[in-house]
Parts: sequence; C-alpha cells; structure tokens
Amino acid sequence: MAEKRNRLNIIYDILNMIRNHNNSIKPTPLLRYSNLSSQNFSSYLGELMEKGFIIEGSDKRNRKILMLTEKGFNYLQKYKVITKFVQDFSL
Amino acid sequence: MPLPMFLMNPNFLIELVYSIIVMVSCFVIYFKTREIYNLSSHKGIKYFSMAFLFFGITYFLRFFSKILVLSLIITGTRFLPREFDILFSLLVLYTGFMTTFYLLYGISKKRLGKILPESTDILHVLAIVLSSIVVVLNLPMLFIGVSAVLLFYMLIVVYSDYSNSKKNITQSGFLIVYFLLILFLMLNIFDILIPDFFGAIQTTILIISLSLFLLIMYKVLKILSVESNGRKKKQA
Repeated sequence: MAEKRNRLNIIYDILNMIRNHNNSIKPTPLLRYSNLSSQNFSSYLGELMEKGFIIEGSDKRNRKILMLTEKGFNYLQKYKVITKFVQDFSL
Repeated sequence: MPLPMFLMNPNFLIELVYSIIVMVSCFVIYFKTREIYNLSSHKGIKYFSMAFLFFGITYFLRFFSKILVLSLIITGTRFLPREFDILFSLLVLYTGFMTTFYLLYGISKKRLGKILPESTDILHVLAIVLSSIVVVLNLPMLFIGVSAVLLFYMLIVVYSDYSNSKKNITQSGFLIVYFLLILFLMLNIFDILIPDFFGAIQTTILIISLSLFLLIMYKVLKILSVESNGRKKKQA
C-alpha cells in the first residue's frame, strides 16, 4: 500500500505537475492530478500562491492558468535536500 | 597596556575555545536551517533551528558567567550584586529551558501531530515560570527534577522510534545525540547554578558536548551542501 503523502510531498507533487506541463496548467486538471479533495486543493493552492511559489496568469484564449515562480522552481530543486534533512534529523 | 591576568589563565583559554566553537556551530546550524525553513515552512525544521539559536545564546551566557566568576576570583573581588545574580540565573535557565522545549517540540511535531498547538507562546510562559520558581525560591532541585522529566520523555521517544524502525538503531541515531545534547546542556547549566560542581570531569563534559555540536554541524552542512554541489555540477 502506498504511504500517505505528507505536506512536503503534496506541495512537491503540485509544483512538479505544473513544471511537467511546460509551466502552464489550468486549475481543473491540476486539481485532478493532485489527488486531493477540492477543499484541500484550494487550501494548498492558496498557501502556495500566498507564499509566492505559484502565480496566476492567462493563456492566449484568456483562460486562467497557473505558473511556477522562481521560488517554486527553487523548492523543486531543494525538495530532496529538505526531505533528507527531515528524515535524517528525525523531525 | 598589559592584558588582564585572567586572559592568560588556562581555564579561561579552555572556556574561550570551547565556547567559541560551540557558539559558531550553533549559529551556523541556525542560519543554514533557517534557509530551508523559509522555503519549506516545515515546523519541525523551524523548532530545530530555534533550538540551536537558544543553544547558542545559552552557551554565550554560560561563557559570560564563567569569565565573570574567573575574573572575580583572580582580581580578588568577592561579591556580585544579588540583583545581577538573580537576573543572570533567570536568563540562563530561561534560555536553557527554551532550548530543550524547542528541541523536544521539533521531534514531537511529526509524532504527536495535531495534539501540539501551533503557537509556542505557552513554552515561553512555562520557561519563565519554571525559571522564576527555581531562582526566586532557590530550588536547584526543581531544575534537576524538570530536567529528569524532559530527559525521560526523550528516552521514550528514542525507544518508540527504535521499536518502530524494526530495531534499527541508526534510524534513531540523532535522537540519541539530542538526548546527550540536552543532558550536557542541563549539566552545564547546573554547573553555573552550583559552580565547580563537576570538578575534574568538567573537561570530559566539555569534550563530549563539543563533539556532539561538531557532529550535528557537520551533518547539517553535509546535507545542505549536496544541493549547492549539485547546482555547481549542473552549471559546469
């Protein structure tokens, strides 16, 4: 059975999903890929936008899209370091 | 101008080297872990980071107290104003308790999850109350009692982790290091409350606690430098 995802994993999954879609994804498919309830997804999305990991934009058809900021890319780059730190120091 | 006499004293030099290394280690750990906390907002990292900030402050106060006592002995001054003594003991006890609370809070966060409140204000209040009782009522035994309870809790966490990790002691390795760090912090504070209590074994305590701080700093820098090395390799 797959292990339950913690907060760090969920944030990684959301940001990684945006990156894998050429840094441009609409909120509905992101909700579907994230495997979260819509309430949880909104909460995570709000937090990530508030902390400056994700910004909203619009595509050519003027539809809302989500994109990573430099801070979001930075999180993805340091994700392994953070999880190793947490694991090694029993935090 | 000639140097004050206590600066040439071997005990002073040992204290100086020990304190500088410990304080530098603590502040390096604090600033390094602060960076990854700002990115991850992981509460465990925050409390770990704060614990080392308080470790640094406590060891700075300890160093200051040792130098003060040493200079008083060497210059032949007998007494310190009682108000100063009370204030100083309060500060040392408060920072010592906060160090322990933050470290225990950090390792308990993932285990006790939502039971623990998000705010740590209650820890500050508890540390102030306990320190005040110990100092005002002159009850060093209370300090020992509280320390024993905190260390016992730490032992339970170590044992529980050891049992859950299929009896693999390396998985709980750093919990044992935390246990020893808290133990030596308590011993060092006790040494301030009752000067020269440990006599000859003082040097052994200094060497072991110094090794523990260096071990943690090495491990922190090793993990965090993996990321910057990786980035350098990519750039090359």
